[in-house]
Amino acid sequence: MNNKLLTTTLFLSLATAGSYAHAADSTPNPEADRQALTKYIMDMHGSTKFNGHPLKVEDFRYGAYVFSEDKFEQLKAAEEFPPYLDHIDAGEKLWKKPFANGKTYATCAGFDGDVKAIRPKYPLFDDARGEVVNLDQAINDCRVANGEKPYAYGSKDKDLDKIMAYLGYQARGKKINVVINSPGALDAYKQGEMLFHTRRGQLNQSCSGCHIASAGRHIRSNILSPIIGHTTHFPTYRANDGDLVSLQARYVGCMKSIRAFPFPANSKELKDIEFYEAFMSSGLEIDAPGYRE
Amino acid sequence: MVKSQWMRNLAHTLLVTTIMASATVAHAAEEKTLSAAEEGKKIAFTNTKGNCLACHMIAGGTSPGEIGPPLMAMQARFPDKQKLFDKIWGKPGVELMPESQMLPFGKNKVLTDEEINKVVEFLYTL
Ligand code: HEC
Ligand code: HEC
Repeated sequence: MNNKLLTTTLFLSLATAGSYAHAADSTPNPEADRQALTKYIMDMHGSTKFNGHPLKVEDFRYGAYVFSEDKFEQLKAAEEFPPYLDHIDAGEKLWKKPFANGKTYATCAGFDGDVKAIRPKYPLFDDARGEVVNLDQAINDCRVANGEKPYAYGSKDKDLDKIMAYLGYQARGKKINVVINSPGALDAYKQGEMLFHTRRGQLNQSCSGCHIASAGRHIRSNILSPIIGHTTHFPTYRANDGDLVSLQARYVGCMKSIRAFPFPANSKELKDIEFYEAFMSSGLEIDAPGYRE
Repeated sequence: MVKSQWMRNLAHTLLVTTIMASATVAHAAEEKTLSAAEEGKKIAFTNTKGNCLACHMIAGGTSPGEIGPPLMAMQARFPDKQKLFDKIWGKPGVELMPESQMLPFGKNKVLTDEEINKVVEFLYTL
């Protein structure tokens, strides 16, 4: 065997994998970042065919399924009898049920008006509070304002996730549109970006290593989804769990898998990551609740 | 104070020596059944240990990942065993790419030096 040739071939196949150098410059420009990232991921997968057409960015709402025809067929089969319909119904009931004070969610700021317009407003940066507010938190804030107990994030009863499934279903087809128009918002975005690219855990991995640099590749028998599209379809029905999983809970799961001490669901850190991921998914259709194996 | 510190160090050294000695004995006993390379293969293929298959194609392993290069012709590519050990251990300067996902197994105490040595023996059979 020609070992030198072999070594060279292997090295080349590695070198072409390249790396996504995210801008660490002093003038943050989220929109330029988003376009560069989109280009990076599309250049990597430009030749991929999906569902009979060349892959488009918008297809990433299907996550890793765009990289495997077999798996996409499984997804379509599952969607014929969606396992999450009961959750949506239960979420609608919870949403419409009056609080002890007789009022409903629809009386809270942000939740008044068209129910289809609620989910697309989040996550947002609340300048008065100086923090990212996601839909999970907005629902809890509304409860507290009406004298109810907030839901525990990541709790087993999934009532919060059911409400989010209902609101997501109502907003299907609407586009993700994250607004960054204040220094605070820009700072949360930069924090989210930094956290996404930071290695952590005993296994020393970063979110970006798996969901940018290796997006579309197998990690054992799983295929890795790209960051773009991550926020489109949550909460998601996960067949493995037989239940809904929120985006925040998924983040915690990924951090545990690299043996990191996870940031708690809805901590400042994970909300900043959500803000960053959502901005990177701008323009994609909301497709919640989703289905994943 | 200084003396007790010294004694603690000595006690520690003795303890470590004992553990190492007994490990060697246990190892020698195991050797009859499993060679170092075979043990290394087990470590490399076990999810909770090396889990190398998550990222590398390795002959004999099923559903390999495709994040790292295939692990093959290892003797040819790493004629110096120490370099291979250092790569897996995670010694500074052995990363190929700045964003490499290859993990520092020794540095982060995912595997012990002894386990890494066995993995190296296994890789040398590939
Ligand atoms: C060692 C690899 C690895 C790392 C590091 C990692 N993940 Fe994941 N992640 C996975 C795998 C595997 C899946 C399941 C397959 C898929 O959908 O990508 C997944 C799924 C996800 C999903 C769901 C995707 C979908 O379409 O439903 C999100 C969101 C996510 N990860 C976010 C993160 C974030 C945020 C981080 C960092 C805090 C992170 N991941 C770190 C491996 C990783
Ligand atoms: C999370 C992914 C991942 C896991 C798990 C992993 N590796 Fe790697 N490995 C990589 C990547 C990516 C590279 C290429 C970049 C580099 O050399 O750092 C690599 C490179 C290597 C190389 C250098 C290959 C060459 O030709 O230069 C060796 C040797 C290696 N890995 C051995 C192992 C062993 C042994 C294990 C398990 C004990 C393992 N790897 C687990 C991702 C991984």
